[in-house]
Amino acid sequence: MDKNTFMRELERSLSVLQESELRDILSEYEQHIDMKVKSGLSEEEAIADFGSIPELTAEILEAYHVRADFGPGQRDGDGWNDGDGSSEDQGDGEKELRAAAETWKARAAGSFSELGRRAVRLARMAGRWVSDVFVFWREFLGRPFRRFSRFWKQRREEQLYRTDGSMEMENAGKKRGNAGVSLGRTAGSFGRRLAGMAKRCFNSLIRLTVWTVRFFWNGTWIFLAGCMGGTGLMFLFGLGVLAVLMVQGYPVAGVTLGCLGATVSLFSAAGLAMTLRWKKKKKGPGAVSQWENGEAEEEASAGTEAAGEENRAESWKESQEENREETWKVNQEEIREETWKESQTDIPAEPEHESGCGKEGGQYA
Amino acid sequence: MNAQLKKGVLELVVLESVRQRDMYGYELVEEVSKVVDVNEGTIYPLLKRLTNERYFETYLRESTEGPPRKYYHLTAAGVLYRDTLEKEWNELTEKVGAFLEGCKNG
Repeated sequence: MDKNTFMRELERSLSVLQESELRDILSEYEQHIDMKVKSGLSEEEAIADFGSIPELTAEILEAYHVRADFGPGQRDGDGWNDGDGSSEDQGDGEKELRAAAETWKARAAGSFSELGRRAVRLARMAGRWVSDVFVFWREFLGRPFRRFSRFWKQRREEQLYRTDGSMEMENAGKKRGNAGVSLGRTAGSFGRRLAGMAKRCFNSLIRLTVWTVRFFWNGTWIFLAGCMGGTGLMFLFGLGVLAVLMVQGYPVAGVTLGCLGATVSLFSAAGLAMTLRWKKKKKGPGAVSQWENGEAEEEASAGTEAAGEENRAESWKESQEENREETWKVNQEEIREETWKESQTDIPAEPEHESGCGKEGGQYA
Repeated sequence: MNAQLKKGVLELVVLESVRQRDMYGYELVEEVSKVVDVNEGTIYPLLKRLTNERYFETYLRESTEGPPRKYYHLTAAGVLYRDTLEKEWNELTEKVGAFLEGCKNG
């Protein structure tokens, strides 16, 4: 075996090592062979001193703690590179297959992600189209119902604004022959009355409960105050008697002092009990709580309360009228605006309803 | 000489040779071959192993006779390792010698 063959074999056997290490080892062996040749030996003789390549390779790899049978080009049990398919060619083939598989995998992953993105985009477009179609048909089919609803709202506002109690709106509805309008209005007013009655009943119940609790609370404290006051009066009488006896020389000073203390304590307790009563809040300069004064003053307070009630009713009526007027104006503006919008669309507008309301609306504008 | 015995002392001989002076591969092979007749292919792997274990360090020196040569130098760890091997060798030879002497004398 010549030097080049030996070097090639050695290089292939040690290909598992790093490139720098491999170069270092090969250069050493090459230098050694060259020196041997220079000393007079032939290449074959110099190489023969190394022994067999497998054993040499095994010892070199052992220095790197690498298995001698690892990697391409190593012994496979049959010999060196005998073409049985277990050499480095097979390893190269595996690498190529692996690289190709990785490439295909990356391409497939990219394709799938692109498909996914397109599918999401299409789904969004489809969703928007369905939503647009739905909105269009809802607007188109709901137009007659909205007109009817606006007309009804307008009539109701006009009726609320009118304070003379005339039944022109109802008569106009009847003239046109629209029975549903009057029926609906009647049902609405009945419902409102029912709700008002329920509200009044509930408020009355609350007031009754509060009155009852207050009655018993104040009654208890007044009774206690009365008892203590009466007892205090008795002690006061006894105090007087004992004072007379003391002046006359009897030894009743201690008892007299005790009676004095008891009298003061009992009257104080009675006063405290009276302050614990539940008092009604004062409503006005003339209004006085029923519980703070006797029945002689009830008539005066009732008259004052009645005057206050009238004032409050009038101010409430005025505020309600103002609110109704403002609401009616706002609704009119909204109706005009919607009518104008619809007149801008392609759908032919419905024939205008000629009624007293149009004329009356002008009257109140 | 028995191959296993030669293999056992080879490391000590190599370490001792490099301890005396720095040597390059071919020179070291020549020096060791004077003491122990071993396969030359065995020495280079040994040098590589001792270098990987940090007992040797290498450097290149220019040569007038050819390409630069890689010289081996014994490190401090290598010196300690060499002393350990020498001590073990002395103990082994002493015990084996005494044993053989005792067997010979009966």
